[in-house]
Amino acid sequence: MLNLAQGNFGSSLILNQSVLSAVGERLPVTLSLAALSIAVTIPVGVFLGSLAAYYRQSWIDAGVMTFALLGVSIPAFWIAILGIILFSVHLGWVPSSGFTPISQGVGPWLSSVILPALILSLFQIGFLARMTRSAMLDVMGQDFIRTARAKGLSEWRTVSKHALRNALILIITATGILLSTAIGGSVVIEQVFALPGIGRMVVQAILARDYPLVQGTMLIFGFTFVLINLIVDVLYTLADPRVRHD
Amino acid sequence: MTDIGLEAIVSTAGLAPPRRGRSIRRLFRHRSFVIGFVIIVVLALAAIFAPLLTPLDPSAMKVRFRFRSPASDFIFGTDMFGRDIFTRVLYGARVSLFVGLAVSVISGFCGAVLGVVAAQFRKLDAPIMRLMDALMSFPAILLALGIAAALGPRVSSVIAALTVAYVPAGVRIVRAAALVVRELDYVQAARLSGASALRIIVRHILPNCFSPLLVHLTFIFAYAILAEAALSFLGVGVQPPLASWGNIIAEGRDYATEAWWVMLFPGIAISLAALGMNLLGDALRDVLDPRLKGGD
Repeated sequence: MLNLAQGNFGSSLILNQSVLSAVGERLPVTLSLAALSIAVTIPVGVFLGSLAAYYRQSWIDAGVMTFALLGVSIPAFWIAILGIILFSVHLGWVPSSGFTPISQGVGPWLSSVILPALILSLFQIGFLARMTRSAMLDVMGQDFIRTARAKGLSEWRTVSKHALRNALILIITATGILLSTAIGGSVVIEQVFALPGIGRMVVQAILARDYPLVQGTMLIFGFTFVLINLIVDVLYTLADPRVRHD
Repeated sequence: MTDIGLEAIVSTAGLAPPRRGRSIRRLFRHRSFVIGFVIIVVLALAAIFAPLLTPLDPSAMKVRFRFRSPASDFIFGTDMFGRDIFTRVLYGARVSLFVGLAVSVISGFCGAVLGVVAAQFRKLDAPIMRLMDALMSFPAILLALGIAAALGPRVSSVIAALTVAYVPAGVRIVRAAALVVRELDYVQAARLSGASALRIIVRHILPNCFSPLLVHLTFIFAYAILAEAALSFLGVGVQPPLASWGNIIAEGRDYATEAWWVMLFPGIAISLAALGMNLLGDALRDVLDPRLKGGD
């Protein structure tokens, strides 16, 4: 415990380095992957979900929801292998494995993480679009939306200022969940794309029975998720003033 | 893959005990339910009657027939050991669907017990919920990965690992529902008329928690199938030669460019199973949750 308080998470048995430096070394990879996938997921997921809610019962709704359903049903590692075959082997657009740090140029970095990040996003977009749609449907049926329309606000203002704003709480909750699924999902995706990230390290540590490394990394993950939850709680109060008085 | 709770938490509002006959009739008029039901029934029958549908042994190796592409002899082709992929996918369905079923039933049971206990007994509420919060602070797949690795690679440890990972969301849902129900007038009336705590729980609280929990468990089934596949793919789940959809993909991965069929078909099977359960979950939520009635 004392060691822990001093920032010592122990040492790995297989890597010949401390847990903290092993994690630190691999952090940029996992962070790139998670950040890029979240950056794609949030706008696309919220947009698709709102679109489906606004045009509910239409072909747009059916199309978006079918896509979202497939997103949460198709295993990411499987679509990742298919993606590598199509985009790396046949089309040669992106490298099939490995990571290029951003310090060596944004282009090479992007091409090394774009495919894994997009595949990670498929599940997330599906999840977020489904959540956003049900949150928006809930809000769109409320009286104040009818009032907003009745007083002559444009549809755009009604939807963006009144409806989306009220659905924001659920969307922020979903985003907190997405951050943790992004990190959880990166464990599998890093393995498929041979990206030297934290997830891949954990899997190797588990298979090699390197318990200090597993334990230390899990502890660091634990701290990270507590932090994420804290940030989500703070965001609640920003998004919805009613929460502040609780 | 983590806090699946949320999708179903939305449905804790549907607390009114549904009239059973009407709900079932409404379910079968729901398009998602019918599609999902057909997919799951077909897959379950294929798993149960696997020996009747294929004359071959899932682990019989015939090197002579290595890497046959899908054709009339082997409709899904064969793998690097000459094993028939169609046969392996059928037998893999037994493992994958069993894991999904076991995880949702066991985590549902644990969730119901812990959730009701937390709601009914004030002293136990905080300890139980803080423990659940701690478990929930990890992504489910990561937690399951650690537990499965610690218990050793067996089907039972995969089930145990996924159950632990998915119980917290169930506990939250049941507790939330139970806290609402226990304040209702007729439950208070039962308490005042001298009904025992156990009787109140069994007769009044549990039945009212059933529909949100059922919706939740349907989604858990889908997540468990996906997670089992991921764990087996990573090598900590079901071990070869026993076939599971995840480890067939893992084995086929190295030959994916030449023998794409090895990994293609089990992937389709996983997707169909998860799709079917998600469709069932959506339909159950629509029908059992009166709050969303206007929505769809």
